[in-house]
Amino acid sequence: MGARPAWSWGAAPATRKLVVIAVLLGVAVAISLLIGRYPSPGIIAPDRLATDDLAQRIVFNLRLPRVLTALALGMSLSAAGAVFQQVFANPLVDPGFLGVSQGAAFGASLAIICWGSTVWLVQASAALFAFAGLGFSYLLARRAQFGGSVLRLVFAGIAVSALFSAGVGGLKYMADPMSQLPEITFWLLGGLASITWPQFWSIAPVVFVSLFIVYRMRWRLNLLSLDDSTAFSMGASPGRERALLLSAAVAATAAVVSVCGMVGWVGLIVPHIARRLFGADARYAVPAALLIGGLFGVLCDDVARTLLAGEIPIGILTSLIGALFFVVIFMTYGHVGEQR
Amino acid sequence: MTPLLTFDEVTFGYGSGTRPVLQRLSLDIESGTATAILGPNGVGKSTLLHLALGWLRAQSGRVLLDGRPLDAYPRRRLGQSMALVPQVERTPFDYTVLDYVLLARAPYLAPLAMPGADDERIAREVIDEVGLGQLSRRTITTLSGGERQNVLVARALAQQPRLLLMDEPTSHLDLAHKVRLVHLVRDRLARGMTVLLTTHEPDVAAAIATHLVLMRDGQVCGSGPLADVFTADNLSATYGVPVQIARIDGRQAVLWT
Repeated sequence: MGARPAWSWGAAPATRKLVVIAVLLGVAVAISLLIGRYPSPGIIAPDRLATDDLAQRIVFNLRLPRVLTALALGMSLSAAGAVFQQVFANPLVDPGFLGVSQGAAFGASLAIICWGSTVWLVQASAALFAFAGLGFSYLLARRAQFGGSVLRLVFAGIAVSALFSAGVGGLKYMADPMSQLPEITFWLLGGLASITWPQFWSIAPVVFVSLFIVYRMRWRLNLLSLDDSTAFSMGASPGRERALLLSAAVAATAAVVSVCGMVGWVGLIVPHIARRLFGADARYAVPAALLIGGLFGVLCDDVARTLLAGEIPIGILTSLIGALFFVVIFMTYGHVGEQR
Repeated sequence: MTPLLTFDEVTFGYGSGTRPVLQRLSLDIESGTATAILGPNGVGKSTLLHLALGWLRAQSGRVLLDGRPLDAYPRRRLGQSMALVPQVERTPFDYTVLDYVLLARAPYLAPLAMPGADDERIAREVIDEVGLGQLSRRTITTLSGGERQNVLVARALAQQPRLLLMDEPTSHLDLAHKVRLVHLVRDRLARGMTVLLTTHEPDVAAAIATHLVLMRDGQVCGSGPLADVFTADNLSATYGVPVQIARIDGRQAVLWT
């Protein structure tokens, strides 16, 4: 990546800002490993870690995979949000768009009802149906007879989401209220309480590859935010590049959602914050979204597991914080409403 | 000499079962000329530009660049040969003028590469050329309509095309911006660029073009050097209303009542 050209924030400031956020993220990860409820609610002193076997095991076998998954969760949803917003030239869409989230919810609920709570089955089913949501939306959009390609996808996404949402409602109605329903509900609210190393490793490769693709293609995202005919006139293949970036975004989303459950608002709000701080150019907005998203994920999970004696579903926190941020951004952002 | 761009019996329609927008249209664009396509709204002028780009494909007939079908060129090669100034463009994100113009360097960059110092130099030059040098750090949503149009022109020029396609480039411009754009295009013509523009303003066509194409009902109803085609009879027939042409100091203006 070249140095930040000198025309907007100057070469040093933008990169320096990214470094600052990266350092913050590193500090947040380190502190997250130390805070919790052992030996008493609060922080494990670092020197104790050297002597206390149990503390070591808690930090490295329980907290580390969980913190890394929270990091992957925030990064994936934010990167996916940035991709969706640029590709659809619409700052108000998020990775749940195109039936992806509702598809995952349906898949997970279906697995819980049909096969009980076998973790990997719930995961696989959620990921499968997340992609099915995208696939249905794409097929529906191709068959639609009106509007531009983006508008067709938007409508297809709304329809597919609604169908899966109805399906989730039906499954909840059929679920055993004593055993299955609470599990579905908890999954729909999201949480990282059950994350262990095997689960982290089950999603890490997909997340890494997907985020790498998004990161490397980030400047192309700017091109894709233009009209298709304009992007084409600049030598891009809008259809193919869009499909590749969307697939990467959905793969990362499906992976993290399959182990963490439904976590809303991160993908909508973090790209906005990144653009606020770094400008619209995806060369800087995407790495910023990755770092800020990671930070947001880690901090939200810290609150989820430490604030109360019991686990708070992380989806509740991200929705609460995200919605508040959204209101603030809307109140102070002059241009969103002016877009055609 | 082979024309730079050739439309060979091109027929195109949006969707099956509808009447074609363009019917068996044939047209040659010679290198170094400025051709204005003049005609009423909805006659298929923009469609013609999109066919020239290769974005739309002819249902029958061929579009040739340097005598070879557009399909025969790699996508990026086309992007290096032709640039489009669209009539309107959605600007959903608040790019700076320079970021926005830099996008035009895409055809010269490998798929995963990002613009470097040379690209930035080229972008800055064209931004200066269209008179936006002071605004290169501004974000595009803060610009006026005329300034935005100039950004689109700068972006197309940053693509360093041989053929510049402009879709109604003056439709959102006030007089001062219009004059400036006309001078800019003339300057580029003098430096060897080929220009193909659509307009529904005969005055603009008369000010820029060396050649004129009159369109009506999806077909060319007159084409040739400006002096031959820019007549009151032709324009009256094209627009379906009577007009006169006034000639002052070798310049021409369309009068109507």
